[in-house]
Amino acid sequence: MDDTAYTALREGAAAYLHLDLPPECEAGVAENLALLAKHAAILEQHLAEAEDA
Amino acid sequence: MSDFTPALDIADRIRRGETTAQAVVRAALDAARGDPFNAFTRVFDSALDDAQGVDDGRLTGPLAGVPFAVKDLFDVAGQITTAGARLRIDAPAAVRDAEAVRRMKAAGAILIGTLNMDEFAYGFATVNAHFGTTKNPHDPERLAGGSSGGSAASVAAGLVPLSLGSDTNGSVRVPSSLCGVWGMRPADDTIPLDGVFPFVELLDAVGPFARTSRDLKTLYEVLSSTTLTGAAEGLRVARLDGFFERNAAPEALDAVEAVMTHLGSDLVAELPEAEGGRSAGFLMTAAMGGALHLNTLRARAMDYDPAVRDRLIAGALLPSGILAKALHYRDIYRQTFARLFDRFDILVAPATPVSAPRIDQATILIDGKPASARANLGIYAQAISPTGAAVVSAPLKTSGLPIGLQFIARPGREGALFALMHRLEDAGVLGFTEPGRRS
Repeated sequence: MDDTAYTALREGAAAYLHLDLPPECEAGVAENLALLAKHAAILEQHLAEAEDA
Repeated sequence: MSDFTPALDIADRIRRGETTAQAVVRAALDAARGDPFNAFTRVFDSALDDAQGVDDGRLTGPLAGVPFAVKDLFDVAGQITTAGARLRIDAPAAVRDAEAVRRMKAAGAILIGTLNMDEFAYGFATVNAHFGTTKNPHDPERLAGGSSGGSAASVAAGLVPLSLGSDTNGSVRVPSSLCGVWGMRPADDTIPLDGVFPFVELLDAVGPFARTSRDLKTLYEVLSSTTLTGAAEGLRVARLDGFFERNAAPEALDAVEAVMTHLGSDLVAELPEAEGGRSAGFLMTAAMGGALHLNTLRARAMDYDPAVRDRLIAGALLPSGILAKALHYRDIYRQTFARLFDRFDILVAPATPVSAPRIDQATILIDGKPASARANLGIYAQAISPTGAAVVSAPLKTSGLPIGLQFIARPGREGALFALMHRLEDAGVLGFTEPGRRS
């Protein structure tokens, strides 16, 4: 995930979740978001295959 | 001191007057206090009073006088349920026992303590920033697995014959595989979750651990209030291929081969949707776990185990549309998986891709690339959780480090599943090996 996307997520968190991310979390959260993005991509692929079947 | 006597033999000896429940429980309490693997988090001296009730004849049942312990996310009346979290050490004490604990006690079993876990059950390692790392009794330099690591290690070490854990994405099956004990993820809605600290409502399950398949069956019958019947003859046993072989180390592939060869079965079940099923479960866990903890994260984020905190925050940030898609795919996947049971009775897959990694081993190979060992120990278990099937995690009888296999059955076929487990254990293909007795 690039810096722009992560910054947007941080802002989204503040605006919608009222969750201020402590600076100590940034690297770990970014790493986990990247992992979630990977799984979301796999999910999209399998959903598309299921709809085609 | 370790005692590897099966639970049913302990109950028999007490019933026949060859020993007393108090003697058994006193020995278990001593062993738990001297636990060298950091499996126990608390030991209850009051267990001796309960044991007196068995010796007096006031407490009876199939497990009368048998000691057991529970992952520290089961409510125990008068005790704080920490869920492995420092931020809960000042939480109010539980008012009543969890339903699973109540059923164990009603069967005469004696609760002697609580067991270590990954914080809030979010992990596969039982590396806990607050309560320490639980070590594998087969090699203390190696992981016990998680999140029910204390539950598996306490049974493997001979500290208790039975324990309870929970399984959301593999938190019974991973530690049972790495510690070489029997474990079970029951089919959906077979054991009540009342009084169990929640993680992911749609995936959580209570899971028992034991050192023999017959102990595990009795434990399951007590917890589910059922009596199982079934036969192993004529079962169509198939191995799951593809996703369930892709990242398996030789010891995991050899374990599947050993079972299939013994059974004389060359049946293969294809499930190309497994990777999508795993991802759906992964995303559900992150999103629903994050949502569950959002209020606490707002107030006390820095009191969490850092690794768990960062996973939960990432999950809380996941767009709801992705969760909706994950839930939709879960439904498709469950239906696809259920159709496999039209052609097969039992499916076999590794419980973990590798045997226990060293505690300081950061990565294992996933798709040819180094990936977090702790995050990927559950890849095969995670792919089964969303199906709602009944799964026994069984230890291969081996002279090497332990490794477990998942035996998966349609809900309602648990009797046949256990009949097959008994047959393979009696044949010496599956079974627990005491730590220190490996070559």
